[in-house]
Amino acid sequence: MTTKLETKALSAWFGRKQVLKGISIAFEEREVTALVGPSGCGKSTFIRCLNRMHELNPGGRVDGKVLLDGADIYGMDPMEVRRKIGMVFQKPNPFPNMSISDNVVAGIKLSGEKKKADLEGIAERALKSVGLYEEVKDDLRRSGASLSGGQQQRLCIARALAMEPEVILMDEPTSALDPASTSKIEELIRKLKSEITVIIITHNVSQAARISDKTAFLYLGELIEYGNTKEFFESPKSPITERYITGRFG
Amino acid sequence: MEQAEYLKEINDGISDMYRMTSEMYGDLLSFLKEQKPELAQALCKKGRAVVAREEEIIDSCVEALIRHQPFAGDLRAVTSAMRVSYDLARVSRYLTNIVQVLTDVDSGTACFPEVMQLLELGWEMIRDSVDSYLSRDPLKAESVMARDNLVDSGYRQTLFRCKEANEGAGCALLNGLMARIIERMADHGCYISAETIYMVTGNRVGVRAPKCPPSKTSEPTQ
Repeated sequence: MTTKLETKALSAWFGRKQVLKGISIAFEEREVTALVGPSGCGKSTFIRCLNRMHELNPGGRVDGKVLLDGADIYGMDPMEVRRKIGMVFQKPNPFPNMSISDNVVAGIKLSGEKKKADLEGIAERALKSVGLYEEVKDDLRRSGASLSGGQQQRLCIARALAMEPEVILMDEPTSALDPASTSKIEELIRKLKSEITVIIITHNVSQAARISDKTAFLYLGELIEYGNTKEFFESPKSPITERYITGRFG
Repeated sequence: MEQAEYLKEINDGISDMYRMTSEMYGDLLSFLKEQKPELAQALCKKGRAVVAREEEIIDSCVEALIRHQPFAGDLRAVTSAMRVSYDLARVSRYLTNIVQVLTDVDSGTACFPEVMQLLELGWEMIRDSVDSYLSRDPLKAESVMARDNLVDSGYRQTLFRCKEANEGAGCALLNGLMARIIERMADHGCYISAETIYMVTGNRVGVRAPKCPPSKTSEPTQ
C-alpha cells in the first residue's frame, strides 16, 4: 500500500473557533475512505482543507500539513491542487446555462484546453466512466439542469473526473438522491477506486460500510478512530465510535 | 450501554431455548433412573420444540439485520445469537441421542459411573456457558473453556476402559458412544463461551476448529 494523501497535525479555524484539532491520517492510494461523524464534527471542513478550499472561507485558517505524494499542498498553486484533488458536493450543481457536454468540460476549458475535438472526446470518456453516456448521448446539447437528480450528480462526478484528478473528495454525494440513484453512485465509487483515491463523507453509516475500504470517525474536531471498515463496524476500539455507529447518539 | 429492544427479544429467545434444553436434561436424568419410555418420548418432543425455537431465533436475527442494520456490539450480539441458538439446538440433539442409544441397546443406564459423572460435567459446561452468554461475562466463559480438557480426558479414559474392560462388548460400546456424545455436547459449551467472549470483547477465540488427537494414545491423560 502506498500513501496517497496524508495529513499531519492538521488543525483548522473559522475565525477564533477551532474546528479541527491536530488530525493526522494517511489515505492509501486507490482506496475508498469514508469519513463519518455527527453533524458539526468537522468532516466537511476537513475535506475542504484537503484541497485548499477551506482557506477561501472568510476567517478560514489552517495549521499543520497536507501531503499529496509527500509534497505539501500548501506550498503548491491552489488551482493545481484542486485539479489533482477534485471535489463533488452534496447537492448536484451543474451549470444551468450549459449543455451536458459543456458542463463536463467546463473545468478543462478554464484550464486552457480549447480544441473542440479533444473536448468532445474528454466529455464522452468522462460521461462513459460515470455510466451516463448511454442515457444522454442522443442529446448532449440539452441543459445539464434538465437531468434527474441522480443524473445531475453523475454529471458532476464526470465533470470532476474530466480533470483527471488523482484524488476525489465527495461530501455526502448521495444524500439528496433516491435509492436507485444512490445505488448507481455507490457502484461508480467502487469502480472509481481502480483508478483514483476516493474520500467520501457520509451520514449513512450503512453506506460507509458498503463502499469503503477504510473508515474514519471524527468527533468534536478530533479523529477518534480510523481503520479497516470491517473491523471498524464489527469491533470498534473506541466506546464513542461504538455509541455513534450503533445509533446511541449523533 | 442500554440494549436495543430487538436484541432483548433475541436474548429472551436464547434464554427460552436454554430453559427448554434444561428441561430435556432433567428428563434425561429421570429416564436414566426410571427407564420409562414415556420420558424418552417427552424428551424427544422437547427436542423438536428446541429446534423450532432455533428457527424462530434465526428468523428474528435475519429480520434484525435487515431492519436495523446493526453495527459493532449490536452486530456481534446478532451474529453470536445465531451461532448460540445453533449450539443449543445441537445440545438438545445430543441429549436426545443419549436416550436413543440407551433405547436402541435396551439399557436404561450407563454401565460405568464415570460416564454419569462425565454427563454432569458436560451439562455444567453448557449451563455455565449459557449463563456467561446471558450475563455477558467473559471471565465465566473462559472458566468454561478451561474445563473442556476434563471432559476430553474423561472421554479418553472411558474409551481406554472400554478397551480393557471385562464387561461385555455391548456395555463397552454403550459407554463409548455415550462418552463421545457427551464430549461433543461439552464442545458446544466451549463454542457458546467463545461467542460470549467475541460478543463482549470483539475478540475471536478459535475453538470451533477440529481438535487433533493427542500425541500419546496408549494411556489416557488424567
